[in-house]
Amino acid sequence: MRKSFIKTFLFYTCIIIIAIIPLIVFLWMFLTGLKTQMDNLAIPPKIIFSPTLENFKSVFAQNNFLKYLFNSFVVATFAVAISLLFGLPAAYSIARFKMQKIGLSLLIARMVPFISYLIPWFIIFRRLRLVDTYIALITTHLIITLPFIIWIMVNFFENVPISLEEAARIDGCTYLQVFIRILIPVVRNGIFTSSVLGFIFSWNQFLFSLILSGNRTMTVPVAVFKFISYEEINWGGLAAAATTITLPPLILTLFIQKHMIKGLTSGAVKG
Amino acid sequence: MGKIMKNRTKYTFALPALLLMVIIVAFPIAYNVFMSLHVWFVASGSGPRWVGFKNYITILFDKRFWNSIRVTILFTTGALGGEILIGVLLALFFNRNFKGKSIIKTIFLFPIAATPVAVSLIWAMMYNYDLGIINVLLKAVGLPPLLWLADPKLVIPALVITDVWQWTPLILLIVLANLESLPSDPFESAKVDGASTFQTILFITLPMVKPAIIVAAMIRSIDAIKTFDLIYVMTQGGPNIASENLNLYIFNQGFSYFRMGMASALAIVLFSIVMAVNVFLAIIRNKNTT
Amino acid sequence: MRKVMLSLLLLMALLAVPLFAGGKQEAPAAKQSTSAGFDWKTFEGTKIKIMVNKHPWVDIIQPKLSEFEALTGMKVELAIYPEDQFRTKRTVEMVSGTSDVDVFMLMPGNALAQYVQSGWLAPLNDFMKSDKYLWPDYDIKDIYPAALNAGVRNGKNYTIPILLETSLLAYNKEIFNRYGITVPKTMNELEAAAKKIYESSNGDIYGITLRGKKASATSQWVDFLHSFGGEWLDSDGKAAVDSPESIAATEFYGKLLRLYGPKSAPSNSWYESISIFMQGKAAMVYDASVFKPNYENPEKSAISGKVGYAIIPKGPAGSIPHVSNWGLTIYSGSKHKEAGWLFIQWATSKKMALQGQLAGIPSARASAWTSPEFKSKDTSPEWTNASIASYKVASPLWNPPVIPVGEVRDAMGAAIVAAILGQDTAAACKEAAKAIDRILANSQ
Repeated sequence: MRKSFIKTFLFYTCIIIIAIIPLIVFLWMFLTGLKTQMDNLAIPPKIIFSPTLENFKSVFAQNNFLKYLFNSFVVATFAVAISLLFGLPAAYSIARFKMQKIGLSLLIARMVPFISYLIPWFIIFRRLRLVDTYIALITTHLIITLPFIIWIMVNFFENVPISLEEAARIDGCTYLQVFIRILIPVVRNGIFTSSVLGFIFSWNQFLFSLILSGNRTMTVPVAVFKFISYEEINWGGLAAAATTITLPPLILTLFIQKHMIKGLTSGAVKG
Repeated sequence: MGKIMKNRTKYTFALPALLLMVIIVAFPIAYNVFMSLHVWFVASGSGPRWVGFKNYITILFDKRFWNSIRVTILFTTGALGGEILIGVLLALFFNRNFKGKSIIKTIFLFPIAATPVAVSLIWAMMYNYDLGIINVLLKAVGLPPLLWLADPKLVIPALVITDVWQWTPLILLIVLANLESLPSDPFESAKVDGASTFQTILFITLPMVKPAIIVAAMIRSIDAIKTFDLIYVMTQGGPNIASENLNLYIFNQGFSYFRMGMASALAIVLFSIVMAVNVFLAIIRNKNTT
Repeated sequence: MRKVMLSLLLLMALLAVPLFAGGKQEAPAAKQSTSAGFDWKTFEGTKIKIMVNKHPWVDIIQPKLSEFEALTGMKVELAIYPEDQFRTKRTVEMVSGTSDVDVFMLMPGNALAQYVQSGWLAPLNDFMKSDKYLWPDYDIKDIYPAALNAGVRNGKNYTIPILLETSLLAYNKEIFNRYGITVPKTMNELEAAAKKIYESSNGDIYGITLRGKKASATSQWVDFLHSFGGEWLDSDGKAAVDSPESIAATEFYGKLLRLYGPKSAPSNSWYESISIFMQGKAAMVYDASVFKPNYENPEKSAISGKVGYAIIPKGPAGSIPHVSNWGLTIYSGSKHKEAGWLFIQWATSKKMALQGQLAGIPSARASAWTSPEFKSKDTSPEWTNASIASYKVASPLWNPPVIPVGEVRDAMGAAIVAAILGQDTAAACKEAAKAIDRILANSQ
């Protein structure tokens, strides 16, 4: 009895210690955002300090951050929406009809370094005068979201028993009707998961936005660099901005944790 | 009749996506290959100039290129090695029912979901020699503070640590999901046979999750070789070029020096490397499943 | 179900319309004044786009933009970027060939050659002589020739300076008093001072802190280069950074940091370096004069009020600091060049220059330095005198006058880092010289 109590105690202690490792970085980020500049520059760093909301306020007030959040949101939403529109039928096709060629092209798309897309796209957008527009950003973000959404959805479609479709077909439905009326509702979990994950990856995207966005369409990962100015690096402001931009993905994670894990791991479990 | 319908449908369903992929993906790759055969110093105002394979030959003798290869290899093996080792160990450790299991899983999702730029900035601050929390803790336990990102010898390990922190959960969750779906028979018979926990893990568990581990490695290897955000934000490739991997070198050639032809050639090289690594891993996986 | 899908698609299509926005915005037809003389309201109703770097000067101009808009009836869109990203973004805009930028900031020493070669800048000479567009009270002669000439290439003016920077030796008076140090006047005295402080404090206080981060270090190193008699390029345009004088300068720079400076030097850009100084952890710093407001700001600096300023100590070839400036320039493809010129005149006028001077931004106009208002409010006369003395003898060649400036600075930066780390400096300088020659050859 004693022995198993000690064992359990040790086990949970280990769990807590291990769990702290991911959490502590976020905690540090948040706390730094609450310190004044002098507190942040103190050597050695202050553990006890009086918090200030100035940094968080300035993130929104001074720097137009709401606009950047909005831009990130618009780009991510449209990238995901378009990816679903094109990707769901394609995923179904791969799952049902075993179209391996598309699967292969998706894999290759993932392997290409993003910079390879950037140079030709930059030159084209320049010719079409589309630099610093949503179109440019959404198009490039599609490279990330489309293959990913297809990859996840293939697994979900594969798990739908074919008997479901065959029953509907016997009733006289066309393939399109079967697709819309039966399959989509059945895999709606997968749609939800892949959409959220796609949203998160688009939200986090840095390189394309760095080069292709401008004053009008700047997204949050690029905007966070604005806290590095000519005369100083605003530690508190940087941390507050970092906290703000990473909060949406984290909140989304909280809500869909189970689905997310299923989505991320489903491709791998099949082997 | 049914077969014709089937073919038509399968192509209609897949066609939009395929077209999109061609436009968005295939075309840039082709353009890349084309540009790699030219020299184009954009800042001089003149246009591209055909040079055939000259760029590739220059790359062969370019010291900075080989440095970037060295950095890429060191970073990737360090990061992947750490992530797989720790990820698998943690998955084995967590593979049981306990209170708060789903909370733990959520906590481990955070590093993956968090914006890499934000995470990298915070880690860069933590590594700061004078102001960072890491050195503060080291000094508190009597150890000397380290230069971390400012030390050419320590910068790659420091970056690896950050990468391991962020991506181990991915390996962990994939392997854990696989473990949870394993059939219980082999384990029960092992118990009956009197095998120790250690033996069970070594001879039964690990071989059964090997495919999942390899798939996880394949996914992660692509991104590790192509790592950009992390290094750009934390060191910009410094000190000097001690942490400049191939992807960052391409960016510098293209968007700092504006030598687009050379950048394109380097990008083709990077792509080839990623392909080669993945083909290699796929071969291992196929060998394994037979 | 189908209805829902259809209406969703329709909604998306509607929402997609503004996606094509974010492109060029057309300005309403500008009313042009018909009077023959200068008139601020000549371009009333015009909208201009200004692209700038996040710089203290911008912090002063931005709140005053409404004054300009009221004065001229124009509208100004100000796009601000952090320094690293600004240069990349600016060149990306230029390369795109379809930029709608009208005026932007540029450091002539950094990018003028490249931008003029590519034909991206509009020459300003006609504006500077024009009856219609030259503001009678502008007084070009008031601008320091060194600053104005930095923006000249092939006999044409391309940039108007908004400030004139130099580099100064800033020292912590309290630490100097504590260890009995006098202000070093020669390089030998500089080294001795750094050594004494470092050793007497058992390494607690760095003798000196300098930039060591690759390319950015070259901006400070160059003054040592010149003061030791070295040069970027010889008279044939070939790299001269491997001459004996240049090697000596690089070795000296590296030695100072290696023996008496912060260990983190190779990754210290201006920010890290001045932070160490402002926390009282280093006795001296050699960096841009524009950082005085930082050193003296009690909210950010632990040593405000205790800082002294001096011109760079004398090396074998003398005391040769550099001057550099940020300037405003007009994009050659701008559709509102004259309107942009009005903005430039307003932003670099005597009034704005004085405002900047009072806020600690070293002005490019002599009147700002000599104005009674400035003199009466000057809390750092030592800085003022050191700056003026510096301007008199400074060299404008803080970068070689070539096109691939960034690459050349990177190549030299590698040698500086090698010197800091105690590696074979002569060999590293020779490597750098070879690399620079190669880069220049590839950039024709």
